[in-house]
Amino acid sequence: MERISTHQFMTLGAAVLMGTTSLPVASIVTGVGGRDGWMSVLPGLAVGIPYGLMVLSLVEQYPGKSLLQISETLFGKWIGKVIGIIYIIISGYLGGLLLGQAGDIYQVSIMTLTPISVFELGGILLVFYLVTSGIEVLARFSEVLFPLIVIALLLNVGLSIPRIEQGELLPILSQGLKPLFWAGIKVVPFAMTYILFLAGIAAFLPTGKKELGQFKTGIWRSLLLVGILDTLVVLMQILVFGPAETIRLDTDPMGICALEEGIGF
Amino acid sequence: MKSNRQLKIGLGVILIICILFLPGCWGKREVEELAPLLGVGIDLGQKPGTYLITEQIAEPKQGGATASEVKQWTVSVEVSSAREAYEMVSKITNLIPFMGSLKVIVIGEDAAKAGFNDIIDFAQRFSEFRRSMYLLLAKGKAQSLLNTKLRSGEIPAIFLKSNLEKGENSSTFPIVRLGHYLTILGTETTAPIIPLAKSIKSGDEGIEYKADEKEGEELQLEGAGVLKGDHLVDFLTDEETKGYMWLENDVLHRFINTVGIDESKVNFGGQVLKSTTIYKVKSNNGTMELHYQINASIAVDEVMGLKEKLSDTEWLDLLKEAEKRFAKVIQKECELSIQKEKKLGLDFLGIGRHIEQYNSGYWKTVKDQWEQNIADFPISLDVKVTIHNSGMSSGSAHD
Repeated sequence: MERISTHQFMTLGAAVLMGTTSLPVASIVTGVGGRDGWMSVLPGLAVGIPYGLMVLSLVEQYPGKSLLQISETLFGKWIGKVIGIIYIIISGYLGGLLLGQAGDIYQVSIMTLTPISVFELGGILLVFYLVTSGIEVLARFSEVLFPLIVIALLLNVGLSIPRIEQGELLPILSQGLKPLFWAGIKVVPFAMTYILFLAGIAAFLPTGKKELGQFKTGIWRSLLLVGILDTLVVLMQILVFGPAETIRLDTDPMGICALEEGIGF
Repeated sequence: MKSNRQLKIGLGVILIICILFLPGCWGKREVEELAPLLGVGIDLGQKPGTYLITEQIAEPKQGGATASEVKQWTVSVEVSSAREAYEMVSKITNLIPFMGSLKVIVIGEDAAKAGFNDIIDFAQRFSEFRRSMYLLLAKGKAQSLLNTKLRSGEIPAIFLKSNLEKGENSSTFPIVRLGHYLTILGTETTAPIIPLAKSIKSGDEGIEYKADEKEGEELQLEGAGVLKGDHLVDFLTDEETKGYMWLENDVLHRFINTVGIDESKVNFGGQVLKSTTIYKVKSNNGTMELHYQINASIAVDEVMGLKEKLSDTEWLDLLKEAEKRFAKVIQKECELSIQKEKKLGLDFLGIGRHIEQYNSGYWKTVKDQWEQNIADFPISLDVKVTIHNSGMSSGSAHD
């Protein structure tokens, strides 16, 4: 069976988490937590750590088995199959949602006259190619692509500095910690998407003691890295647009520069 | 073995399809087919509920290499929506109007008084536009402003854009981008402010030129309009706008002189090299107040009315005097701006936001009645000027 390395495990996880969070996170946390919303991203994602460790513990106990097989072993054939069906439906729904979001943003902000089906079809074909190529290719793909995404994101954040509005982050914690708690709750489902993905690749993870230890580190590293990047994205959107505009704007972090400076042209 | 080969062929086909589909060239437009929009003017139309949209479009000359060779094409259409204007302009040109190049939106006085958020919604919603484009108010009609024939032969929209971009050299008017305007609107308590542009003829505003030498007018950026939401309420004078610039910590460089500030016979002219404004919300005998501390460093490059020869010590004393008098000028400009804010009851200085930033607890107690409270809210001001240098001579030509 194909296996992925601990580094690939980390970048793959981080890429999945980044892909699901970076588009909507600013609008969501600012909508609930106001101008303090950026503080809720890291704690919200950190909720995923114990769940991630739980998946690794299952991997340790049932080496080489997928989530569906583990469910069947633990809950019996029928309940296991129901869990499997639910898992497939949720994963398919989330995947479709992401594909739709990506296509929508691409069409609305960059290529307005290109049919959305072109982006979606392109995306689906890419996904099918990676799926048929196996987990190793998928992991290598994310190893190559993820650093590029991080660099692009950091460039966007850096290049937006001249457009920062004075004092948009102040006052800090004027509404107390309660809005942060609710904003954090809104981030938790993103961490759960990561767990869903982790459960999906469970069968492909090496089960040696050393590797499992490294995977544990990989989980919190993925969540921390994405948490920091997402926090930066939210911070920058609040600083450039102000909280009211951050909530209102349907833009991705890459769109900040395009909106402000016309890089999209 | 056979199935492995089939899989590889299948993957190859998928990859080729990906290459064909992912670049996505649908809707591509060649540059030669585009009519790049440079400026848009918004006025009220004659029919109720309509706008007179003026579009200033660049017409690059075939084979033209420099910006000066760009010709302009300006057209006004009376429409109910911005998209309708796009359609009408499309009907009378063989090019495709392109919005991504738009640099300036000029709002006519009447349209600004009536409110203009509806008509600029297109500019903040359609992805071709950029939030970095500039907003300007026109004294009178935006159409007339964009149709001004400039003596320099420049395209008005391009001239306005370049004049705004070099604005920080004189720091006499605010530079407002669409994104900034929308962010200010989002604060709910701060009144937006937009710089004012007007066309001037020879003899206006103390500016004269030989009109018959080359037909044309000049465009001037001076003052600003204060808005309540998207409705223009009043204009700020040049001095009030300069006061706003100090209080907003928006002065990078300024040319400043002390003529007329008091009875003194010796006057100074200079350039602000650096300026910082710090805000503090503090309690003064149990009453909350906002305190502005302005620190400016000025290079004196003009001394007028100095009739006698001064020793080194006297020269230093004179420069100390200059510091006080420059401070008076700045103080006066700021006070005029604060008076206007209190008179209008509109917080264009963003005092509410400063209070919220530095004392959010107190802000919660006053924010609901903020507009009623502006007039009575105590504001104090302290201006400190340091003379950085006195130019290349210490005396005057009369020495």
